[in-house]
Amino acid sequence: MDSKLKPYMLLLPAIIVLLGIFMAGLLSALVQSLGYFPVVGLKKITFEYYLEVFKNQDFLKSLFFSLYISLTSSVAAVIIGVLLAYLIVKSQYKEGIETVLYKLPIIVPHMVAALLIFNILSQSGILPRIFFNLGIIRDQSQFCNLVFDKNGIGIVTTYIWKEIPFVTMVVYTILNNLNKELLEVALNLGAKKWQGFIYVALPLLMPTIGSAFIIIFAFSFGAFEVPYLLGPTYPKALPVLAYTAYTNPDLTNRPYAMVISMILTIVSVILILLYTKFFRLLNDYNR
Amino acid sequence: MVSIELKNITKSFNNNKVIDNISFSVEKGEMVSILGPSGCGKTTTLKIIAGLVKPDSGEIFFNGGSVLHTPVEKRGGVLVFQDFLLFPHLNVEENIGFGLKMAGVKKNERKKVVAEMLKLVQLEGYEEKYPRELSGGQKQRVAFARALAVKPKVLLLDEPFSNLDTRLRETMREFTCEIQRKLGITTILVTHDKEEALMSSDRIIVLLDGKIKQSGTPTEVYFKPACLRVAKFFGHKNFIEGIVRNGVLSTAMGNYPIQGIENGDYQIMIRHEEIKLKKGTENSAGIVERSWFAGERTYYIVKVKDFSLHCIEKQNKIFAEGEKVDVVIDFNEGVFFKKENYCR
Amino acid sequence: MKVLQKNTIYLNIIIYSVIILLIFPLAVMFMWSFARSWPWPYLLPQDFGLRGWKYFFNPTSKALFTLFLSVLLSLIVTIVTLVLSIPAAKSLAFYNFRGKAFFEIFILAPLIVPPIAVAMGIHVQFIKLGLADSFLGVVLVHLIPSLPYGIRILTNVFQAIGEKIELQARVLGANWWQAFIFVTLPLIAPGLVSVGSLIFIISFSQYFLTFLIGGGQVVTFPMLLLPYIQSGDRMMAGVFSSVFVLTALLFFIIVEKTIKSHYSSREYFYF
Repeated sequence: MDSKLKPYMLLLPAIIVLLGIFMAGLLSALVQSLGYFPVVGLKKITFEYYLEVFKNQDFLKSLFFSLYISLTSSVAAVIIGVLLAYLIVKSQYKEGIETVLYKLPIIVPHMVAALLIFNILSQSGILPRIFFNLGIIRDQSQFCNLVFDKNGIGIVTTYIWKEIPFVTMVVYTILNNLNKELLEVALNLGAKKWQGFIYVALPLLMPTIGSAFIIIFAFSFGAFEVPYLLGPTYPKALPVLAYTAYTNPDLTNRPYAMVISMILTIVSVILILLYTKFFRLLNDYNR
Repeated sequence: MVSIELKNITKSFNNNKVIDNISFSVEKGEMVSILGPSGCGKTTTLKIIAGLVKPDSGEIFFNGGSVLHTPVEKRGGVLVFQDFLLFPHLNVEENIGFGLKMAGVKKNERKKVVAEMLKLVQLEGYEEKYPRELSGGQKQRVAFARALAVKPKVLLLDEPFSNLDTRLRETMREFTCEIQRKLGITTILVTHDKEEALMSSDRIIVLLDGKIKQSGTPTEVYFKPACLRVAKFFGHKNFIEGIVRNGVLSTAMGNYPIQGIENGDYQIMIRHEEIKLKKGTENSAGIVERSWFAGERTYYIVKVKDFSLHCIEKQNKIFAEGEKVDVVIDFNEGVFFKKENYCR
Repeated sequence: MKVLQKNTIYLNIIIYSVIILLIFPLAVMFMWSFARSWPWPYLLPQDFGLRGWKYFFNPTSKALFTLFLSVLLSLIVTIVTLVLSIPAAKSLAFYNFRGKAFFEIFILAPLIVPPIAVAMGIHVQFIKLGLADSFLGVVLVHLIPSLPYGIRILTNVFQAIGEKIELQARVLGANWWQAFIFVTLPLIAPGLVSVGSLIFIISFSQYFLTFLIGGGQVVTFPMLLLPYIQSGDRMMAGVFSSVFVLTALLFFIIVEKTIKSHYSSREYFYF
């Protein structure tokens, strides 16, 4: 085999699958979003659907709702996760904690996470029961509903619950492997402990934190199950809105679903660009 | 045992010429070192001989026959890498027998060869051990035994001792040379350590920037480096500019009679052991600038006019820093480099 | 010294309360699966029963069969992903070539692009090709979220063992497949097992992709579970979720016992 071609040949099977399903899927969605859907006789390429969607109040509300959910949950998860990682590095009994934090997010899928939060936060959940027994509320109805609510509390809580262990473990690993001598050098040069954390550890962690943030943001922005199970009927999260448009029996509505898909994709492509920037930084530090 | 010849080998990676048109040959049973700094292309040369890297152009002959299109596994050039690369999932016996197993040799036959090899490298009784249970020196011996077990046509050693600590390195070097001589196996050793090359090889090939700068016996390359850079690579530090006119050498230090050197501008290399120091007087030209006591010898930097000369003296002559000394240089012992031999 | 100890105690209190907050909901879910009656406002079930579990294990409910089918599907996805990932990862780990950076990004892209967009886009083509509503179609579409993890992690595994050890085998006279079978494969085996377990769980957890491409014809375990959560049947949802979590956990433990751990499987994350 020509050695110049060899790396490409080795990549080929995986790339074929990715092109044939992933890229083909995206292209197909793009073409349909531009109004080309010959199955029902739509053959004119047009930006009309995009314009219409962007003028639609329901869509705009959904877009903001989705952005709000992803941003709130990701920011909260990153802050709590980083702090928790720092505390674990400082504490002693790590083995058990590591195991729990590592396994938990892997074995509990999002769907089950939604159930967990539903069990806790719904009007008949554990939290209002505790409040009742503590005498804080006197009746179920006094507890404002935290699932299916317009503020997306249930969705945000689910994502936070699911993402904290992920962020913690990613940051913890880096923090634990961080060259301790670097911190000692900083201390030796007169830095206080917190200064060492802020000026040495944190900058070195930033690429990791950044990429973790982007991964969880992108995931929560594009995921269907949690908002589908715990979201309010209005406004719907974008993926739920897209799916609703998709299942509309009138197939001429299909392009609207695809427009929303494309918008989800475009936001995530922007995120990929950011991610690669962090990725590059990450590689630079590790050199 | 084979003789090896490389003819006009060139190799580039990403438009960067790593090896630039090199040719050399190795006799049957000879031990040749390829010496050069890291990045000079010496490891690539070994890989080309082994067949792991295909040259862009040129020819390779084993015993006069081209092996350019012989695949690695059939070529018989066995590399020993500097990190030994024992297979961690196999024990010593399986490691040494690996090549034979690949060649389809029967199990009891393999056992015999393995026992023979273990005896050769003095590791009898280590068959069942795993690489992680071995010390650095033992790992190296196993790696060596594994290479020898397949009866290689040529043994290719890539910095085989640089992962060992100083004392072990010497022992292993002697040990390796002894076995090489005993088996008479054609061997090419790649190293950046000039002392290693000088001590262990029949011939040294100096490789700089992918080009062969000199090839010769250890004494030749040490005493008569072919160009300024080779001289500097061997650690020579005293270089003096001078002009030769009709048997007289003029330098900034003074004029000296000289024999057998044609007229011209030169850089003259004086080996530090060739400079003699004598107890001086008030009028002496040399001043001891720095000295380092190193046991059996002492290193000095002596200032003569604008020159800082590096010298070595035996322990029976000790000078203090700041002391005036007479400096005796016999320029007839120097190596004269013409401008075209600077090879920058 | 005393102050230091006090700090440590506070530290541990904070850490463990977060951990408990993370685990507590799981305990509640597990309790629900055994609850016969758990009315407002009691903090513990008033009566325990096995109705949900009996239903689950009853052959007529087909729950066990679905679980089996799900495991089978995920195993197939895992094997296909590994077979595709090994050469790709080797290429990325050992070679420098034009466009490498692009390929690296391209392979990671499915981690970030929402699967819903890809699945809804490809659905029409799958229908045309007869892949929709089929087991094969579901396997293919599960490859999309699996491949990035497979390739990325195996690339790290290959980088960790290094390229030279295979070259060493080659110069000792092994041809390329002997070098792969006798050297590379045993060395990457622990990595393969831990990546495999991750991919298994990724595939096992998929809902939307299976639901859309499988069109209700290919029923996997998450598809049995979702309606119970949606309808707020906490007892049945608890049973099915517990089975789900326990299956994943069991798989994990088996895998951890199998690996003699040259590598720690903790290096890889997924959420």
